[in-house]
Amino acid sequence: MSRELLQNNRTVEKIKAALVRRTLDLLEELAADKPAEYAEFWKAFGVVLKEGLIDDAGQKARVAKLLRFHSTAVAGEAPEATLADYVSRMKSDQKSIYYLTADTLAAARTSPHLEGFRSRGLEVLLLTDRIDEWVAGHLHEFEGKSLVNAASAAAEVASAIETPDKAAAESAYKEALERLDKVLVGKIASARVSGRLTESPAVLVAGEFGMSLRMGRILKQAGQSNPFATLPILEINPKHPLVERLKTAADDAAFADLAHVLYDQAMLSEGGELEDPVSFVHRVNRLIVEGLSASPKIILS
Amino acid sequence: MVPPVNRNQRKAMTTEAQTKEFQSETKQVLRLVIHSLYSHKEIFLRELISNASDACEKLRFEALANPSLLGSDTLAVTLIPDSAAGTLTVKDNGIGMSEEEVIDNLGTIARSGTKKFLEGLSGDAAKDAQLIGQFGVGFYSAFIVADRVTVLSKRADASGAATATPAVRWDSDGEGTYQIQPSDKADRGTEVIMHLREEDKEFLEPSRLKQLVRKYSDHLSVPINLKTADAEETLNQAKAFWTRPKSELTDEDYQTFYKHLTHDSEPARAWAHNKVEGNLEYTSLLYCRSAHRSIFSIGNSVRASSSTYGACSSWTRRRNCCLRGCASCAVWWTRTICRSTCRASSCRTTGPWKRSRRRW
Repeated sequence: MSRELLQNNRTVEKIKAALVRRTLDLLEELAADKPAEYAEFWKAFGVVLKEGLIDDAGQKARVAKLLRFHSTAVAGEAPEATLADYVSRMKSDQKSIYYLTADTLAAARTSPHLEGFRSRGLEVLLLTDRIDEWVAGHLHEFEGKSLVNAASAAAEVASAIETPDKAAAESAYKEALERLDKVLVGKIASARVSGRLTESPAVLVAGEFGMSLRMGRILKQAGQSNPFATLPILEINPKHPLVERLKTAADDAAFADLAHVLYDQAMLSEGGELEDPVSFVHRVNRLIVEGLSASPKIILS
Repeated sequence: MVPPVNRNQRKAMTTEAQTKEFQSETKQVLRLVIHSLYSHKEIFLRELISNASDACEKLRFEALANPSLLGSDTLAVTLIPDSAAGTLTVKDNGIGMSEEEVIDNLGTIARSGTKKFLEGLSGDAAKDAQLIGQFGVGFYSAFIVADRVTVLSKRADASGAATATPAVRWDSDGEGTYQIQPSDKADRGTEVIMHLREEDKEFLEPSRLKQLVRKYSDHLSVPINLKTADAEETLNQAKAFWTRPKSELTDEDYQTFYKHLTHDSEPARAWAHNKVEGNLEYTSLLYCRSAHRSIFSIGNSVRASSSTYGACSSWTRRRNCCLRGCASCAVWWTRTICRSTCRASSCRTTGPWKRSRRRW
């Protein structure tokens, strides 16, 4: 018997297809009848199942139902949300399934990207396995609802979470945005006013059709060249006091300090690494010293 | 200067008994096996029957390519208690071993296997008992109940009597050395003759042996016979486990077979047993494991799945199977999640995960 003979053997192909179906039957039964057992299974083999979803396009729809995720709507350490649960909780005017990828669950839960979704009561799935970047890309949609990265500049995200008063903020920040583009050239594609931030000063989002920033990092760590790398967009929170100072900073050096600090902070919040951490520390220290001297009482109290 | 020894001289030298020392790791394993399993003495029988059954399976498999190896024999494992001599013999008519294989298998243990085995020992006798089979050190459990073990073996050989591999005899008291010499054993296969310790003579009683076979080895597809002075009977079902009807099998049966198949210390989480009939007839038995075990050197990341994939490919290189055609066993499903056993056309497999290092 040779490997080649069997690999192209129709009988074997049929058995293979049947075994895959049986395996899925088995897992579906386990998930339906013994959720606690299934949760244990998922803990051990969830990543393998996700890999299956990527490898075996023919079974994508069935595997998708077996996936378990963390979610902003479900507290706790165990991933319990299913895509079907998510769809059943969707708002009547919500078109897409939102997800966010991060390196850890804690980083995902506190991500600035979620601020806008939280304030509008939209659920976001939190994906923390490395393979999730590929899962999201391959899954693409579930029951006709497309999967959209909450950390991207997709128009869908914007229309869901952005506020009407953004237009007013845009004109107020017109000049500051132009200066940001110049100072941060080579680091960002562009700067714009954000509608998604309520607490954080700034955030980096991937371009609408660009690769997610985390995916770019994973490829870089793996030593892969990345021809699809695109620069991120810097979104600033027009109501944040630090950002408001961009409008008033007349001194170019002070403006550059502030711009770089905002960019570096956004990069750190993203789970990314700073190209030049020492300069970041110096800039932050300059700002702190300045703040202490300007209004020492506020800081010290 | 010692003159180089050529093949013929070496053969000539082995006509007399030679005393050799166990490799140092082997001594260590021997001691640990005896020590850690003293409270679970009876598992020696499971281990030896399991090895004998594997030897039969191996011959059955090689005979697919070379039918004359098997001849007209029915493969079987035979237990022969001899009260007069105080010995229990576990005999098979499987693949057998040449002299070199006997030395390799019974005198030494692959370094990596030993190390992993020693690392894997937990002090929990039940778990350690599983490990023993997994690392192919099950044979040494014979010394738990025997103060002397004799092994007679003759390698299956299709080349005819004149050039056939000579039979070999191996003797040891498990105390550091063993003797090896030619044997006049005429039939193919291996016999493990245990000279039982006084306090372990219970293993000569047919009723005790029957009970143990039913407990540990009922699922084996090779018949396990008990041969006493006046009769010979088959103790197990002697049918491939998966060919037995679902209605006859209990959860415990499935778990026992799973343990035999995988040596996993955790029970299976779930299984699916299906008989398919029609144009294509086959039976599938899929098991879902409880967890990645560290002793399978599988982590919990993406890397894990690719390393399992690697294990699978190396397995398929080692053994032919019908599922290998399933591009590494249904590509990924069965790869890590499940262990499967299937019977299709003329070939049979026990999944790519069987990484035990059985001897003979």
